[in-house]
Amino acid sequence: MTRLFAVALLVLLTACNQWTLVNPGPTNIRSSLQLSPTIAFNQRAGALPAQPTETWTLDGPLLNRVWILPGIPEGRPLVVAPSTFADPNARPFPAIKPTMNETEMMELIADTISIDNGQVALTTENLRPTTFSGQPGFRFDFQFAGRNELRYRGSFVGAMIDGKLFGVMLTATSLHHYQSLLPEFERLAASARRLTAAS
Amino acid sequence: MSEGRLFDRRGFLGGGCALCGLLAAGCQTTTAAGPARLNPGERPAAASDEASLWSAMERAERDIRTSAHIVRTPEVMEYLTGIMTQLAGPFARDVRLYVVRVPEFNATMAPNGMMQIWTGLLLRCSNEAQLAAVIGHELAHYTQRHAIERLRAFRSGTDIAAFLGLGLAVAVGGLGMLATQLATVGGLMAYTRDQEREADAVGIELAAAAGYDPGQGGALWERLLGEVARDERGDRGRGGFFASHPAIEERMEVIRRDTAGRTGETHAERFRSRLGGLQLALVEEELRQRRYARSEWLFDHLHKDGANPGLMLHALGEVNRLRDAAGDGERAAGFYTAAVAATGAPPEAWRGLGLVERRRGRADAASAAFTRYLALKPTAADAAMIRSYLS
Ligand SMILES: [Zn+2]
Repeated sequence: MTRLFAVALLVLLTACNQWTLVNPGPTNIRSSLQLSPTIAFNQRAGALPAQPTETWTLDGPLLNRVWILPGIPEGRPLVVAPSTFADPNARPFPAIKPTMNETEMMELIADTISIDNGQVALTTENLRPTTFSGQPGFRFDFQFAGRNELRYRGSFVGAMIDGKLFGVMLTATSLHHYQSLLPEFERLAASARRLTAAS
Repeated sequence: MSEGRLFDRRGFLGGGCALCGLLAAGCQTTTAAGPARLNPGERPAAASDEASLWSAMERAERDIRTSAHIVRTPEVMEYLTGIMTQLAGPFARDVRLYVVRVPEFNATMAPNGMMQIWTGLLLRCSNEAQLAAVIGHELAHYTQRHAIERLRAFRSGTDIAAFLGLGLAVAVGGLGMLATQLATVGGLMAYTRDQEREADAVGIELAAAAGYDPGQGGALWERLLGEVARDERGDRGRGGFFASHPAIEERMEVIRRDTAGRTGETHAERFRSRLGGLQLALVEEELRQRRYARSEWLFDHLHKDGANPGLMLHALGEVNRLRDAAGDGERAAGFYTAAVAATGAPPEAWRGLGLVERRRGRADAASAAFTRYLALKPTAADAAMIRSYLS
């Protein structure tokens, strides 16, 4: 497994070695969502324009990452450029529907993560109501083991606002890394503000 | 009976092996083209090419043993291992079974006796006899030493090195391999058509000798072909069975011919009851792939086969609810309603019913279903959210 893991790591490093710094303070994501981190993150640069999400990380996306959904519209999947772990034929990814309830949004997000990580079994926990950008939203936790055998934990906080899915998701290896990043993630989620053309 | 013809490429000769002994009657003696089959308990000669193949596999197996993707439920593993042990007879102590969580149809046998069955294959079996056909087939790859035969067919050292490297990769492929690598490996690692035919024939005889209906293997392939034809992605799935098992249609013909008129046990009831709670997890793994047309066809056929009516009707409800195309909501409600009236429906069928009724604006029906769901599963992962729908 070690050998395969090294290969996986190499592929990921080659594919995603372009990162730019996100400084603490209000940051606009695709001019539709504002987040205010209190620590600096690395943001994946040169992401495909078609990819509707952003990824931030502290120590590299295999170890921890914040995935940002800045308002994904109806009919769009959350992932356009699948990871190297995904079946290249597993397309298209499931897409947003305006009729989705919170359970179904959780299923959409969880299934997307599962497929993108190579059809892994993913356990979701504690789906509950919350607010996001001042709107009624939802939150859930999850865990899964990657095909690289790393154990991941994560949380999603978000809302469907005017038919678009907004949210932030934390994923980290092991309970320790997850818990150490959780306070910053909570601050990030609480700071989320949907941007409209007027603001 | 065509056993003789099937085996005349290479006789199953050699001393006192029960596994092959049961076939020997029909076998003609011909010149052995490949390595002699293994004897029970036999290990490769030290410093041979086969020994290095085995040690690569043993390293891979050590990783697999601690993998997060292995099914470890003791009752399930005891049951499945029991099926394999019975089929393997004198080889039972030489082989080990791992059930790997990959929602595709595949099973593999490493040359050192490490057998892997993917969870997607378990989902697709309607009875024990179908699983026995697969296990018998994979056992044959081991006893007939197909991997080393394949290795020796390569000419250059580069090919052999690639084969060894890929062999290791394939051994862990279901667990950790990158999909792109898996595609490459499928071709190189594939057994030959003759080896597959031989494995089919041995598998049939092993299943029959253990009292199973030997035609069930053919029924399993047949349904798999029907299912794959409905894959909306127009492909045959990640590293699935077709990557390592070519020419399935042609083999199916032979299997059908060789099992015509033969009967035996299917043990459908025992299969369902012993897999127990794992079956809902298998259904959920399949649903997660969002290949609606294909999954719907599969669940429908498993339902027609009599497998777990409550669970399969629930699964059909889930496919329709998740797809949510025109008419799906109504269909989903119908399936859920039928599911909860049948035996074996999980509490999640009530949740599904509540969600589609809520979406259809039928608040009272939704509340009743949600209440039922929460009563049956108060600690459900989405209980807090469902409760908020009720208030
Ligand atoms: Zn085979």
